[in-house]
Amino acid sequence: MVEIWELYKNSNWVEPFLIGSICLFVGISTVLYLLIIESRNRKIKHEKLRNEYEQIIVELMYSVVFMDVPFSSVKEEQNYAMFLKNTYFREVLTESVINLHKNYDGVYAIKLEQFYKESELINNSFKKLKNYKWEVKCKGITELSEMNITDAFDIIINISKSKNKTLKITAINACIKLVGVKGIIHLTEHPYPIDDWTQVNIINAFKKHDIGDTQGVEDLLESKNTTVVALGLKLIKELKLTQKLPHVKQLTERAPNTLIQYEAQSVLQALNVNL
Amino acid sequence: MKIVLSEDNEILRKSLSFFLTSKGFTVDQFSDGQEALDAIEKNSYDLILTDINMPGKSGMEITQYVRQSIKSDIPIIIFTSSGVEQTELDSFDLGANEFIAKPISPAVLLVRINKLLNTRL
Repeated sequence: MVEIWELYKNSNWVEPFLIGSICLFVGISTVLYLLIIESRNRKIKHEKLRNEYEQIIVELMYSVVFMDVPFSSVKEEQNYAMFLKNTYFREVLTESVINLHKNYDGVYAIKLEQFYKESELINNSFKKLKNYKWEVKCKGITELSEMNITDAFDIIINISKSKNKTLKITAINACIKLVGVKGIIHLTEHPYPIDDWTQVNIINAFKKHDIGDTQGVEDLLESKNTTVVALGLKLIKELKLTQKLPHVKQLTERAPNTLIQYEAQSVLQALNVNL
Repeated sequence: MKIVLSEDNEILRKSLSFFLTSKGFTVDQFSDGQEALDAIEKNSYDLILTDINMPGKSGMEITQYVRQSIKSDIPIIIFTSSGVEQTELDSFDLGANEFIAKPISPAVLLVRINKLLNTRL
């Protein structure tokens, strides 16, 4: 202790300490600067490549969607064969196919779905579901549901049990898009409360995807989880499912609490007025 | 037949442009509404195909300007991802001839374009 105090008092440490600090600061600054430059260069390079790829993809999409060229022929063409093995090209291609699928309807959308499967872009989306990053999983789920891949339903429904709220909502929305009401029936056994934000998102997904068959919505009213019952009531009210009114009426007689009873009565009132 | 295609979604714009060109149309494509409007003022076109939400000027503003300032009766087709009824009503109020909600079918779009052009002829 005395030795340290002596070293401190004689001030011999000041000069090497300052030189060391300056060197450390300059060193770290240089490393950070180089990292920023490298990251920027990489982004610029990717942007250039993206522009170049997009032109190729437009031509590729044109052949597949509008000219009915089968993917087997496209794959053998020298121009495309090389690119189709490139990971970044496939990433841009997936984004473009999804983008076009959102904007195209009818036979053109079906051709895009066919291309998505044949070009094995579907496998890349399935791989994303196994990624440990939730945002990558969300991307994979969105891609698969946009392309109506019902085979992904079992995996997505498992992901919907995740604790991450964004991931959970994305997965439930995808399940609704893929199989309609069946995509939320599992919620009847859900052990935890479903918050208002998740409920709003589920209702919005139903409205957005215009689910025709609403068979099973009434099962939500049988759940022991009161938030699930509340969700069922909200769905019946928002989608104006007047055919479910007998189930709502039954619920008013055996409601687990006054809040649910009040909500059920309000649904009955709202839908009876509409009738 | 010369068409203005105004759409900020690049892949959709380029693919639609390819499609319409293959059907015998000459397509001038723009990603910015203001640039599209400048081109409409300078050149003569047979039809305007525009999205609503775009940088520069919106499809609604383009329609309003064409009908009220240029006083042209050139056919205008608005296509948008908005499913709101009021948007459709507003588009017709401003003078659009057709309103197509996305997702669109290029085949249906072609039929509507031909119908409008034939009516005008």
